[in-house]
Amino acid sequence: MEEDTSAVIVGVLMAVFGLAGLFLAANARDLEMSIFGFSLVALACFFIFGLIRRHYDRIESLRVTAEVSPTTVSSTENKQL
Amino acid sequence: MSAAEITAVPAARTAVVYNDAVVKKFVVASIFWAVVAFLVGVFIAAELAWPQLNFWPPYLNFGRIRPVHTSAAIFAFGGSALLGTSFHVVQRTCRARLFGGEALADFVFWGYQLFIVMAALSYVLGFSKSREYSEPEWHLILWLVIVWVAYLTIFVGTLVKREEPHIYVANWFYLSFILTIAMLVIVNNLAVPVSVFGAKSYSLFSGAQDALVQWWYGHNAVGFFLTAGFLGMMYYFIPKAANRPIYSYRLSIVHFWSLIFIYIWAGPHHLHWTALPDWTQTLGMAFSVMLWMPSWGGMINGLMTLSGAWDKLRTDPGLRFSVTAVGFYGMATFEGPVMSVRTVNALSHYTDWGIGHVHSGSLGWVAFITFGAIYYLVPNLWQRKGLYSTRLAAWHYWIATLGIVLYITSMWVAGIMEGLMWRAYDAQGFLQYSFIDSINAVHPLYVVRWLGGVFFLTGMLIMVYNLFMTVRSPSTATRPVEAIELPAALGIAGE
Repeated sequence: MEEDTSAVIVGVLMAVFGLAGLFLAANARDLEMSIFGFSLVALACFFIFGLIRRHYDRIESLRVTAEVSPTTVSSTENKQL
Repeated sequence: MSAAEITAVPAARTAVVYNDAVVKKFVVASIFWAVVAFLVGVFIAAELAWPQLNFWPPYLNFGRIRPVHTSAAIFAFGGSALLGTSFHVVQRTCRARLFGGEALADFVFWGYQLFIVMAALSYVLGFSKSREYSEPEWHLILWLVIVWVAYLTIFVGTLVKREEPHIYVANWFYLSFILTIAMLVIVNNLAVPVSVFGAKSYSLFSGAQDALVQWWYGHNAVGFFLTAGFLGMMYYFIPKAANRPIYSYRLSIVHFWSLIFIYIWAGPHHLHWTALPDWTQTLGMAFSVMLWMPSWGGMINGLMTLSGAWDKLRTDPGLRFSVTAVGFYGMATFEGPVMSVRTVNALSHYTDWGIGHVHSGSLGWVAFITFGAIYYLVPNLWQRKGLYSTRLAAWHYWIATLGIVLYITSMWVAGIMEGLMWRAYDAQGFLQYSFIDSINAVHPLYVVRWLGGVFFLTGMLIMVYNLFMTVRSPSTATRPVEAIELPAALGIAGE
């Protein structure tokens, strides 16, 4: 639960930072701010992509483990992931 | 704590799945940035010895590359090590997984790496606030503050949800590092940007006040980033590697409170013989001298933890790094108060003695205590049975130690020579030497300093190879993967 909530909040924040980066890059008065803006956008894109990938990896992992050993999954789910 | 609370702790506890992924990332980043920092350091040392290396102006000029070296060493190498080990230590000593989930921890990692890369790039491009150890312009500082708040949230959140009743002393040191750095960075970087869409800004302070705020920040960056944080590392990894409790837990608490109370006042010693009021200079000097006692209390506590386990220094090169680091901590924290005395400072300030002092602390203390922690962490985190080669680690130790000795002795000699030459008068009252005379005089010592840097870098490259092989070599493999009952995507604590 904590993992999912965290991923959503951080994902939304990263989207906001990415948009801020776009504004900075579009209005930049110097090269430094332009590079910083584009870098924020790039980080936001890769980070959000990573969050999505990890979400599906986790589902896949639990599904595969459930097929192999159902008891292991239930004991693992009790632990806070 | 009452007896009832102690007995309320359950005897059998459920396993906690720690977030080791982010610790591993920080360890790898720390090793990578160490190589970068030492490489750039060797290059700028060569630029000072052979000025024709200042080619491809202005990007490779000493003035632009020097902050790349200092930031890579302090914030990239040291910072990554501190963040990574603090996440490791707080989880183990609290028996709790990091608060905020993997996403928040990953945000801290990637956000911090973005700050480092952007800062280095901005120095090379010529964007700098020209404040030592605080060169990044306002927008990068703003980004760092966001990342730092996330870091604080994770750390405090983990402390709050801990399953251990006691907060171990290492966490106190880490927490003081996180809180004080936040305060220092925010105050020292109060500035007015020329435009929201431009990188240039101007400090909110001016004149002597600006200088005092800068060195209040500067010295406490040493005190709370390079000392308190790494003391947290010392208080966890030396007892773990030596398999002994801390020599005196009470002394560690006295060490903590006295250190953080005294350190914050010592900054004005960087501004002796300037426009700063005399009483402020004396205050800085007095507190710097007082700082000697808690520093040595901590050193004694670290060294005496080895009581009954000194033999391990023969067989554990990682522990040898940690213990030598504590020795360098003692030396540097003795030398610092001596240099802060105004009459000594009249000789030492603006000379290479200061550079030698800084490097006995940064190479001997900061780098060595980090190497000790990393040599301990890598086999544990990657679940290997030990280092690939303790012999290579021993080579690393001796080459790096020789490098430090070459570095600091050459800078001591150069610094004292410069100080004496600059104050020498002839019979008529004229200065005996021009500035260029002092530069020519120290040239051989600059070459020795460069050689010391090459030694230290060589040792680091040996460490990289050793750690890479520790993770990859079949000779260090432990148990087969089938024995682990957790799903493949999950990792359990390495201890």
